[in-house]
Amino acid sequence: MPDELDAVRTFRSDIPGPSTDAWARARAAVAEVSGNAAHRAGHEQRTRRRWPLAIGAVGAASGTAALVSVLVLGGSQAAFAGWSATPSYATAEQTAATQSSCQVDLPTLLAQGRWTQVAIDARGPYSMAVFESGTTLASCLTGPSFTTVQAESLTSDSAMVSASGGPAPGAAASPVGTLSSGGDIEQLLVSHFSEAGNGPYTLAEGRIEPAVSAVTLVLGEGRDVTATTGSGWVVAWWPGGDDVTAAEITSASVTTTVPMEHVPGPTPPSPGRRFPGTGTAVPAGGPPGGA
Amino acid sequence: MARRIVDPRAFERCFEEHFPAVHRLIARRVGTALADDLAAETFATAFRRRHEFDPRAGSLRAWLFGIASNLLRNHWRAEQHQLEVDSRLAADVELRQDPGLSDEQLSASLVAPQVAGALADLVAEQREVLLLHAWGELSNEEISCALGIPLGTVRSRLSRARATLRDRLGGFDFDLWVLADEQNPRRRGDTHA
Repeated sequence: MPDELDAVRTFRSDIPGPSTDAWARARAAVAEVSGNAAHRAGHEQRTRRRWPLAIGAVGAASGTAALVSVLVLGGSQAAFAGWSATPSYATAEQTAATQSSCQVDLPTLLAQGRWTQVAIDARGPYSMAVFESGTTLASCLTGPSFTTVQAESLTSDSAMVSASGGPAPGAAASPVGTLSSGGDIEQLLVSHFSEAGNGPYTLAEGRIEPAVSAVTLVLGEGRDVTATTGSGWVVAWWPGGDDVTAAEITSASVTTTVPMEHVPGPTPPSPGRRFPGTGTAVPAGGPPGGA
Repeated sequence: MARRIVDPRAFERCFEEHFPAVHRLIARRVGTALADDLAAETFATAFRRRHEFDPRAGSLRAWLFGIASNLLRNHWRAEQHQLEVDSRLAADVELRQDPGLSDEQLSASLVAPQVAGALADLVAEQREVLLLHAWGELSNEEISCALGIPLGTVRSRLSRARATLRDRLGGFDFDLWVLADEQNPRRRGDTHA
């Protein structure tokens, strides 16, 4: 028998669902707080377009990483203005622009075949893309006026993470990387670079268990940086040279905080294992020194 | 299984799944124009605070409705004004004779002015709980989580709200509503003068 609650339930029950404009406005609001102006503009023009996945599928790579910092383009600006500790949604336009900018430079970095983008981490006006080509990985940071590319040449006959080349003209510093692991983060390679116009920055990229749904990296100075995760990858970067001390890892709805422990090295190579036992990277042509 | 929404893609799924319900709840309370802004603000707030959502503490739907409820408190006057306007509208007599009208539309039209008046009479806290229950379809436990108030408080506010409604809708014959529905749907919801 109907009662007063039924009467309330029928009241204003003919209110329609949200219009396309309402969807677009909400998407724009979320994009704004995530610091992604390009995403916001895109949604103002095209309503109800799905956010693209941030991460693509990737095959396992084995061997050791050799870091190369080779290319810095464009002018200077304030130190990574607009950078956000929380990644935003990479729009299709942002992804395409990043691919276009980076893939122009990738062939000049290493003589490799086709590069496939496996991850993209968007923060404000910046995009960090990770590419794979065979056993080689490359990271490409693009900003409003610059593009820098780093490559990790993966070889099976080396046990060291080392830089195999010096910075190209315009690059401000040599890269240094450390490998660490913790919890469901199998391997996390943290590398320090510098961009000519913005100063030092740090890149963290690595492999995670497929069940991991979120990772927040805790930096040395207590700052938190939310990483982009998916398809077995974790990617994040931040201005400055802070290292990762711990990670908050969410898996199967459970979040745990684990310390990130450096993998001791150098050790003998371990065939079939990604980034086999390594220590601090030693850039070619100079000792480790950070950014 | 409820999941955290820290990851941007998880938040996207949250948005796609829950935006219609959040928007509709807000729209029923303060109208669609204001709902567009408040629903957007709800999800912008949710994105900023997504680290705070704990699926073990309550449902995502309840958490989002809680954020929306906080925002709606700043628009209490707009909601009150709209309810008072609706309460003064006479049920459309011609509407009852429209054969193209669904039963739901007819019922809503007939009872709307009285319900609007009854809701306008409720204190804000009671109305908030009642509408989360009736429109948001939240359980008492979920309302407790959404509003951050004890379960006993939810129960007492809901009980008092329903009592007020029963009192204000005293002239509405729910028995006749049922009887009319079975015998003559066009008379359903007629009120005792």
